[in-house]
Amino acid sequence: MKPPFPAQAGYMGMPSTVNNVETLSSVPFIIGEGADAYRANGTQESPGTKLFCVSGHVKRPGNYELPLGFPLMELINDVCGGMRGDRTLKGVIPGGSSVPILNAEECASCEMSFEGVIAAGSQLGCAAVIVMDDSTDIVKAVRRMVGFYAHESCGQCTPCREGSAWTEKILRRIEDGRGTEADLDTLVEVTSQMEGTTICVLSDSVAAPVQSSISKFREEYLSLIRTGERAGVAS
Amino acid sequence: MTDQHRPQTVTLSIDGTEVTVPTGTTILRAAESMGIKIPHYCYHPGLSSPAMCRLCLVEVEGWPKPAPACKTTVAEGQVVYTESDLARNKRTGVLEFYLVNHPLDCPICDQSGECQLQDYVFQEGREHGRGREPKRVLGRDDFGGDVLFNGDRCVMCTRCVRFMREVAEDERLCVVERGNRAIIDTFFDDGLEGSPFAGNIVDICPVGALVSKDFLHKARAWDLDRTPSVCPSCSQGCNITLQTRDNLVQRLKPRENLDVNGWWICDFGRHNYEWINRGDRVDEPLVNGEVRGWSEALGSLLGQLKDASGEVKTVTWAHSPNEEMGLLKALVAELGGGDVVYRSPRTKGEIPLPGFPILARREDLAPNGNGAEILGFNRVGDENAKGGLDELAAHTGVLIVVGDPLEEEAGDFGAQAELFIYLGSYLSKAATNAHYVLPITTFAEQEGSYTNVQGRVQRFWPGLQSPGMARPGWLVLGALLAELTETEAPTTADQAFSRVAERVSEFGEINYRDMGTRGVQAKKTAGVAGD
Repeated sequence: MKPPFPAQAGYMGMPSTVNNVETLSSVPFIIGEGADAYRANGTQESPGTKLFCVSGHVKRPGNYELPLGFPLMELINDVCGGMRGDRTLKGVIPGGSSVPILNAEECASCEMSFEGVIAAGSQLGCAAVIVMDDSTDIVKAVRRMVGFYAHESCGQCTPCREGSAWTEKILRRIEDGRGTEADLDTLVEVTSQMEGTTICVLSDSVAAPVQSSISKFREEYLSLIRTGERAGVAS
Repeated sequence: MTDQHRPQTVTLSIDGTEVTVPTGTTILRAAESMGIKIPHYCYHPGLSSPAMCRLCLVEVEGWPKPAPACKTTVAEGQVVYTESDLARNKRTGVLEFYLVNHPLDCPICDQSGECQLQDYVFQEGREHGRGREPKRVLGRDDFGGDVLFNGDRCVMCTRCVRFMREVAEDERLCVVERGNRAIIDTFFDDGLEGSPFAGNIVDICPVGALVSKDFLHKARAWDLDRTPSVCPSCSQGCNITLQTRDNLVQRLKPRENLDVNGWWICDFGRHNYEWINRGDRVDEPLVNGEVRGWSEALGSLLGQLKDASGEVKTVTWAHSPNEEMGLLKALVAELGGGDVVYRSPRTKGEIPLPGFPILARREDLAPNGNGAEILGFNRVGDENAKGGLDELAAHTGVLIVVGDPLEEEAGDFGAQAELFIYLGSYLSKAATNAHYVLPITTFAEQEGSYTNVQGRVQRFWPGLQSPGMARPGWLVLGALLAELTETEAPTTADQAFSRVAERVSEFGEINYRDMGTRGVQAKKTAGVAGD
């Protein structure tokens, strides 16, 4: 059960509308120019434009307004000026850290529309695009993200309160070279118990980076577990 | 009842069985009505439901996510599964989260044996834990009053915080910090000190996070015998459980009764039990100071009663059950009538429980003042249940004292009486003047009933063995009365109550069976003296 939606009981207990600035800023255009002009951009299912907040290992990180459905590789290579130091792309988190990570192969054909990112294996979310090159330590990056969620958890719901902190501890142990292969199964199962079992979706946010990184970058975890050395991380 | 006044109902299916419940019922309560117990921590029937423990998650057909049963209201045609693979899997998962940081110190935990974490994990938890990480250590904190907090055992259900906020309306606890670092804490240094209902948070804590300092390491839960009883500390008559071991009361716990005390009792009543364990008891009948058997003592007393010519005066106390007082009244009437008085202590000011206002620590500090009034006894003495007996002390006729220990009466109390009979549990200086000292049991050692401030007649049961030859007062008085009236003596408390009820219109339609464990209302409520 959740608290009431603001549209039911919000500011001063009255029905209230809460919208993203990005949504509100589209309204004058639609009213002034009409729906067809708005639909001229974007795809059939994701009309209009989107603000892409690109961060990470690109030459020109920043906020870019582009039509929805814009190809991810063009966003990285053309709009953002390519990879920092012309390094190789390792992966992209296309919609904020609470969505699954895409590996380089999945990025190649990914179109940045709501349906396009789902087809590629992730979600567009808030379109906060995190680009990671081959120097990225995926285990450390995931541990850092999970640490953020563990710190942000309000602590009401048990799966989130205990699960986020536990997940961070396991990841830290793996990073320190004291992990076991069974830990990977534990991580996947623990995080799956955090999905859909809580009041808000902060808990679900832990699951995406952990599960997607274990399935797509398993060798990085296994190397730390088996040898204590990082693998696949360029210097 | 016409159709339009009939409460609206909803029919749904839980675990394959259809059930019809009032609209607005939660899945948890609907399941409970069918005998299906859905595990839960944060939900408590006397508190709001924050739906945060996530243990009561159930599968609802067609819903994308499992639903918290404590907060989800039923809908027509809803199909709920509490034992499906999904529901069980989620419960097992949540239980594992509870154990990640739990110290598993059951062997030294007071809650062990009555711990819901222990029970649920035993029922549905994983066989082996997977946690390999060092556990979070929060340590212990003295919350003040009788409450000791063991942070490491806490499951963060926040029942205690909500009790203080919603029921005691005395917000002294809160959750500080957030996430995995969240912990229950008190505001300021005084903590729970002086809060008259704080002891209830120990009862509602589902684990060993909040424990009673008084009960700390005193007994294991499984070694305790539990007897339904009525709190003897004021006229509210809160339903309680006597928890006993080695023939001693170890602690008192509230027993649910929504008409009297809900799930709660006050700390004053909770901790006022040591007197029940008093060891200096009269345990043999004494005739002029000589130990006698019951039949000999009663036989000779009967002869004396028949021969006695003086007026009868009697005093009892408001701790005497209805049966004892009623038969005493009948005996006095049979002996030609006379003064019947009782003493009972009073305090100034009621202490109500704001969130459950029918419950208050009453000014009348004995359990059966209302029974005494209904049965026609007049209260004498002061607020400490002392004094007021000058006439009786110097009485020259027949003097009968039942229950009242006469503790501060002068050494010559009753010395001039033609016949002085003392039925009591303790032998004070004044009581030793009695020609007949007849040992009787306390409320904790016998079956009986009290009439509370609301006029509700409530039964209690024996939780302790009576010392030596002590007998219930009603049995002794009933036997004397039967001999004098040539009728059959009551042999059970049930029969004794019926004998009393025959004579008192307020109790006329009441019997033990209807009283059950929750009591019934007397026909009309006589005001308590001093009201």
